[in-house]
Amino acid sequence: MPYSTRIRWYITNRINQFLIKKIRNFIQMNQHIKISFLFLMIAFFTGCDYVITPLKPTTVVTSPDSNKVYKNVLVEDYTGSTCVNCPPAGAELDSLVATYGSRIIPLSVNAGNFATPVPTYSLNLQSAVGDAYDAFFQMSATGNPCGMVNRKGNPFSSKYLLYTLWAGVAQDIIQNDTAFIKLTLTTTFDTTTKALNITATSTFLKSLSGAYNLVVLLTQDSIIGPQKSGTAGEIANYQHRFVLRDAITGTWGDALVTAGSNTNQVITKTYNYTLSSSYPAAGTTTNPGNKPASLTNFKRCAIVAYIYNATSGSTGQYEVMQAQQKKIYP
Amino acid sequence: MKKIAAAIVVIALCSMAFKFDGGKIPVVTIKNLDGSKVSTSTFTNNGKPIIISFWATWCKPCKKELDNILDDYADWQKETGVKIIAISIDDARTMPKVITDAKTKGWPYEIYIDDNQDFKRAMNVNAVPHTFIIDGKGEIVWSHNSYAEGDEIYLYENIKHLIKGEKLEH
Amino acid sequence: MKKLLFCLGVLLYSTSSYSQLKDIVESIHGNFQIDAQYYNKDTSIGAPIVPQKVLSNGFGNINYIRGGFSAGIRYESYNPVMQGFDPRYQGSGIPYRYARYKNAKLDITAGNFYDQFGSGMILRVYEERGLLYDNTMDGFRAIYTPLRGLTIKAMIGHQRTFFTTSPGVVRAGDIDLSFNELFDTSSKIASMKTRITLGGSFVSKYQASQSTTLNEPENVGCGGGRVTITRGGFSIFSEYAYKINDPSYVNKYSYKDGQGAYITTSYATNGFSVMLAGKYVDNMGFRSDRDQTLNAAMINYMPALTKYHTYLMATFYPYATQPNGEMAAQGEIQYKFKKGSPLGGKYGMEVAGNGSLAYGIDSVNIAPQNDTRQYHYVVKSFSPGQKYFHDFNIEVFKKFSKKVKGTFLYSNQFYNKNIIVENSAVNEYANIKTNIFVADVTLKYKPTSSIRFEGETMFTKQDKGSWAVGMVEWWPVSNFYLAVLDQYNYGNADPTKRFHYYLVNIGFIRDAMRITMSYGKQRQGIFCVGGVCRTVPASDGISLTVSTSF
Repeated sequence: MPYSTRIRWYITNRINQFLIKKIRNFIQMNQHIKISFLFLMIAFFTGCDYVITPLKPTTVVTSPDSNKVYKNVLVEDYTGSTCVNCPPAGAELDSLVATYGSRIIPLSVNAGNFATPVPTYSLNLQSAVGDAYDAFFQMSATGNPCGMVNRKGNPFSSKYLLYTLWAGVAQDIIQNDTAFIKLTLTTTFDTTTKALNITATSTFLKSLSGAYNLVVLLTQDSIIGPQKSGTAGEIANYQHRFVLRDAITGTWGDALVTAGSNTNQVITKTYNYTLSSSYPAAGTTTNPGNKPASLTNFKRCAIVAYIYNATSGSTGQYEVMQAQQKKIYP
Repeated sequence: MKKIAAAIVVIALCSMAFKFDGGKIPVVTIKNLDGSKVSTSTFTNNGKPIIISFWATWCKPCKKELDNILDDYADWQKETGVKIIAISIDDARTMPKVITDAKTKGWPYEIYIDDNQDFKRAMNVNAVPHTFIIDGKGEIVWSHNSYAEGDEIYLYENIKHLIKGEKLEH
Repeated sequence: MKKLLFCLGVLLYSTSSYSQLKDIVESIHGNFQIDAQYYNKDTSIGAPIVPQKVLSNGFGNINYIRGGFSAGIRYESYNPVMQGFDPRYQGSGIPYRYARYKNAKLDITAGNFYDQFGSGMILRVYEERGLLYDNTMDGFRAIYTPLRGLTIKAMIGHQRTFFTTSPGVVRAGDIDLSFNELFDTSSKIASMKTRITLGGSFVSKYQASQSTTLNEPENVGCGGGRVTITRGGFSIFSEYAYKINDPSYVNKYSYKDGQGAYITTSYATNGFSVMLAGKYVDNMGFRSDRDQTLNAAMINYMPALTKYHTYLMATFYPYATQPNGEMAAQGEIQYKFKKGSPLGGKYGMEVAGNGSLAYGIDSVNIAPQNDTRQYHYVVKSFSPGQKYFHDFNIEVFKKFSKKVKGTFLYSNQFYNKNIIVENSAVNEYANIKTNIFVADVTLKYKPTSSIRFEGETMFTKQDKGSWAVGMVEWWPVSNFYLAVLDQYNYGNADPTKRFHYYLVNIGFIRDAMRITMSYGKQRQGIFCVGGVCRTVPASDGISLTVSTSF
């Protein structure tokens, strides 16, 4: 072969080899890239739930059988007059009461910085017991609005529940939990002396171990006063519902049993309490909910009592076992 | 109270007990200014010392340190051949400022972006500024946090000690 | 506590003898920090009684490296947590531990890890110890580099929430392509001046629904892509993300999809740079627990597109990205007047002009009776809605002599308190308009001794009125400092509330160790994130910080 052709052959051969190597490299590289992008695309289309009908049909709740003993649900709403995001939480509590009736024992605790009176929101709905619960369970310290449902939750930090979670936890307790303790309340109230007498009868339906305390609280419903709202600004005639006013027992209650209970053990406790005259008067003539203005304040007061697990160090400590409420005046 | 006191004792003991035998620079992947990846194993200076300075565009003392060294950097390089590698820990919020700050100030240093803070974690940096001296063999021989006016004088003295094979000051 | 001391004892002993193993590149390193504060009651500024008197946060990291293998743990302790931080950080534990192996092509981590995709708009798992922010993923991650320039990441796990994990499982994948590097080093593309990097990512989370009223999507995906192009002094970075229906507490259970776009362009050359950035966000809050709030369980990261100020008065009213919807822009020009030029003087002068704007998106609420798809709102047009924030500022740095240098800042800010603080649609507070002046001068009276004077003032007619700050920071030697600071609310409309928030701070630095102590008062703040508000109480007391790394 002539020298020039040999060189030409040599050069083209080298170029061909070079090109083939480049193309092979490119295909290999492309494959990696192709596979990677394919993986991403598949992941995108399979890893997603696209919802067209967001709203669930409203559940029909069967009314409680008066012969059965049910475990009631204590739902606490930690709130304040200057808490701008709190009205929806109050509305959620109303909605739970409307749906589940007597199974829900509602309690609004006005505590923390957003419950402190300021010139434009001067109604003071704080209480020593509310402040104690708020500080201990770190409610306003974490952020308002928030609350607890039967003070359930482990670890301790998960007792803090956003209001949108109350319904799920409450429904779960209502559908699945059995009552271990029966709590009945009877009240007598003298309208002249404002003296209130409460009898709380706790019946242990089964033998439980540990310590259990009874707490009795005084609440007042539908106190009319200003409330800040993120959607409506300042609501002058907001209906503050189920407001915790005072504790009749101590903050952490009286011990029912300290070292376990027997089946059908009955413990009766009586309390005397006088309503203070400093309770805010009934609101303006046009009350929301069409309540007549002549309704005097004690008619809106109720007793909320709950029994909780006071066994120190146990995983269920502070969890509410049974709750009950009773208006003080029929 | 007791727990806190115990913790402080532990920390003080640790800082005194551990002689600074830093070991080699951990191998971590960080980024170049154009977004491409680079490994810290490529940090070499032909057997000459390296200064690694962790900084951020929002850290005034960090920028002060790198500005103050700028005046003497040419002399430092001539005398000792030292190289400065400035690692920015800026995240997406301030990352665009890394190149604009460095270029405006005219910094000639090698600049890398550690936006996932892998290198910062691997070097156990608590806060910026934090400056390390790496010797010719790639070992960390000196570590210092914070910056005060004039600290670059001590930094350079230690570089000179390192070159001469003397003990480093702390 | 005893266990920890024992482990440390073992560590001390083993590392004292590790030098024999030096040639196998084996090492143990770590860092510690503890912050403690003693609180006094001070009714004038509203500092409450702290029943425990002393609160502290502490953490310690220990990492072991042997060749390509590394492992480590972090121990955290809150006894209890200091004021102003999320009180759900309670107790002590080991919330972070990992084992990792990497070689040239593969990098696998079992346990906790941190990572981010692009700018973090789709996923950013990171820690900020000073803010007690930590959303580390606990699971598995693999990073595969089959070719130079191509990085593939895949990860799965649960995010950390305090000392436990979030209920949602997060699965994520990312591809990062450094276009130029894919080609042979000798080819034209590899050595081309224009550098291009591309990326695509996808994140999907699964969380069982517990709602009694809503059909919540249990699998929610978010994906997107990014491009970076640089050439010489020019640079462009852009990213787009799309999120499918993600009803959560933070977006009021809206089923609307979400979008985010971010672009930043800059040109930088010696002595001059210019930068322009824009951002659009619509419903891009993305958490691995739909019923979580504040700073917990966040998957992505959307920082404010505003200048990161360090001066107290300039950060008095800080802006935070509104994940439910915002449009923002920022521009900055920097110029360095050279030494010898008329303005530059003997040492040069740096000037930086910066402006940032943030607006809401043009959206209109859907009436509940028409809201069958539960979107809650529709975006009318791609145009700005309500004004949220602006910050126009100019900063000048000049070295006057060998001993004196100073930084001077003027900032004009607009702050929509209703939206930024409480996310309220109601005009309760007036928009806060401020003019801020700062002068920060350092006098280096000896080669290693300096004293810094800082004077700031913020003029405003709204909120608490005008403030002034005076600070002196003295470094007599390079490893010790003493600082005195006073923030004075001289312009408060209520004369009885014109407080001085003073602080005395001393610090000692030695190598990697730092001990600082301060005594004084801190003002109250309000902190609202994700539909929940908390007050950070004012405090009065002594605080101590000890940190070291080894």
